Amino acid sequence: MSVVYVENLVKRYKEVLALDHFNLDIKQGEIFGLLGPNGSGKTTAINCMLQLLTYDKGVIKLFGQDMTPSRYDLKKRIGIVPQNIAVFEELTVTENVDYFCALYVSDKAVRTQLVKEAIEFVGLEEYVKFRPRKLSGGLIRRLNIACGIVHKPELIFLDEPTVAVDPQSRNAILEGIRSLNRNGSTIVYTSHYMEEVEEICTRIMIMDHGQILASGTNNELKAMIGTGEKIQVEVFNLSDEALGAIKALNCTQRASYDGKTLEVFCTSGAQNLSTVLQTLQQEGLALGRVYSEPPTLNDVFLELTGTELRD
Amino acid sequence: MWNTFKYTVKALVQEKSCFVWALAFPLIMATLFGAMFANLDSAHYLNPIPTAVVDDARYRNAQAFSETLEALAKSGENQLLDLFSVKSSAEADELLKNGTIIGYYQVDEKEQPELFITAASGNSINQTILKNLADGFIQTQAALKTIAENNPQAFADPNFLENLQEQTNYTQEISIIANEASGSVRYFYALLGFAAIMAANIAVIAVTQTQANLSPLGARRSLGATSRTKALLASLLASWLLAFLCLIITFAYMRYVLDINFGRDLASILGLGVASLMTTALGAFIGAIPKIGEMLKAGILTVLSCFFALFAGLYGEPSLKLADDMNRIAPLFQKLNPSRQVTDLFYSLYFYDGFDEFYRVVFVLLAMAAVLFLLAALLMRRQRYASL
Repeated sequence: MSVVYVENLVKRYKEVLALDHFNLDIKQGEIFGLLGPNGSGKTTAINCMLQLLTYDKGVIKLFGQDMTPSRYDLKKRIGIVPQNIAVFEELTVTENVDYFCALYVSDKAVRTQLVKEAIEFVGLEEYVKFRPRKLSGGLIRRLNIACGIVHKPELIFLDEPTVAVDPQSRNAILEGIRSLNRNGSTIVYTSHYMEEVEEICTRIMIMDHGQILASGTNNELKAMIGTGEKIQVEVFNLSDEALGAIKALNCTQRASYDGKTLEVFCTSGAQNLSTVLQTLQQEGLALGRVYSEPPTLNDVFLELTGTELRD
Repeated sequence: MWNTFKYTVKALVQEKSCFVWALAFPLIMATLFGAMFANLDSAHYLNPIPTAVVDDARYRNAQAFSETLEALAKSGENQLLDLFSVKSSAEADELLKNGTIIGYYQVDEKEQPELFITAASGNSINQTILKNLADGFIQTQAALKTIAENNPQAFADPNFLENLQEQTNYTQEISIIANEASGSVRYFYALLGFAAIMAANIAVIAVTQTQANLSPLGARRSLGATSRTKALLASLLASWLLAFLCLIITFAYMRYVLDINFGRDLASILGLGVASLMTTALGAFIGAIPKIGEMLKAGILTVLSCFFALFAGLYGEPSLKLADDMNRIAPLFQKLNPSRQVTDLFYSLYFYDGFDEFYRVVFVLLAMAAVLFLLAALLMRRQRYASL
């Protein structure tokens, strides 16, 4: 069943086309990643789906039903963790979580249990009486998450939840997202950190300037660009002839040299590394460190747009 | 809805900026006013006039005059003179010179009191009183002497002397206001008017935190499964309660610590309830204005408060005169001045006997609240926004 279905969504901010016939179909149980640089339209897409923003055209269905601002029955099944910290500065951790829980759950006894579980889930048990200003950036992010997931929603939108957090909190947040998914929640995860998206998402959509560039699983996306392996070799005084020899290899898609490191993008193949090294040795060059790795989503993005993801 | 109300109250109570302007500032100002105006009202009352009398043989022989002075110097509510008895005119002159007394009496060889004053010896009102006292005594004495010479049988009437001594007053003093006239209360009422407008800050913050286009917190709250109307109502109710409490505390401080007379206390509290409703509506309206930050809104409110307070008479005598002039020249402007209307609430209770004027001001404030709530609702009616 489609939990989120978006068809031909168009959103303009005056002259700027923020979403250009945006389509989305997320199935139940997925961790769906929306990957794109800042300003690519990820948050706009989410805000349109949640009916916070008006849009020019398109169909939005959540849980198979048309979404409107007053569909409180659907909103009850949705959790939101916004990009900006959105909690009461003046309330404690427990009070904040309880407040947001009360927007969905009226029974106080049920709520008390849910609040306790949410606080435990994000690991804030020791900080229940702290106000946000006393928490570190990572802990505030966890509180932000607790407020969004406390009512155990079936669908959770997490908009850049790891921005400006320490590695420990980041790992805890990512593990928490996996755990929410294991417990049955469908996750929509936006980020411009490709490593995170690669790590946790079952399906990924890459977008830029409001357009979908590619969509699929991690492997499907990498397969799209045809790069099987990325080889980096530290080498000094690489001549133009030697670089030309590397570029002339059958396995080479493209190669570049920055005066210190040779970077070779190869097609899929078992012998790519030995072929490249052999060629360099034949040129009589002294080699330093050698790296070989499969392509990343950044490589996919680079291939699709011609720019780095973090540009 | 209850939870939203409860947590909004909790959150707003800790908003320092709200209470600096809505509570702390009026309390500090009230304390300053209390110190500044402590003697303002007493200046209108007559204090016993420091007067000396030369206690010589002539004075002791002028029994009627000495008895009159002693009666006027007797402690109590009607004490007119603070009488110093001196042995000689030289001693009296010395007291007059050093400012201890306003003037002194000495009985002359005709057994009539003479008043000695100097131009620098005190205010003219007190000197006039002393002069009238001496003149009155001399006139009465002369009248008795004339009657004794021309119509001595008149003294056979036992009521004659009593009637003669009785000073019949042919004018009656009545007050056209419900309470004793006081010059200082107007400043305190104007201060409450100012405090009421500043209390609108509470609603500004509350509304900003509920609207998706005004804050990230508002956006998140808008996405909850509770109706926006309910959430907004709960927030406005919390704002109204806190604004009301701020005004009640300021009122109680003025009433019971500074001893300011408000005429009728219960009606004053009811009036504060209405005033805080109007101020909540004003805050809701300003808070709902899109594309303006919270700080700028607080700034707008401060400017408005100061501007309205100018025409409510907060800034001293010239401001009071301006307020009175504006009442005559531009009554509609004053009707639309919320600070002036809150000030008028207390005027109506202090200066008027009945409640007609009070009800009129309450009606104006309720009408203002209704219009402002309507405007706020128009600004907040949207559930989706073109941009956030």
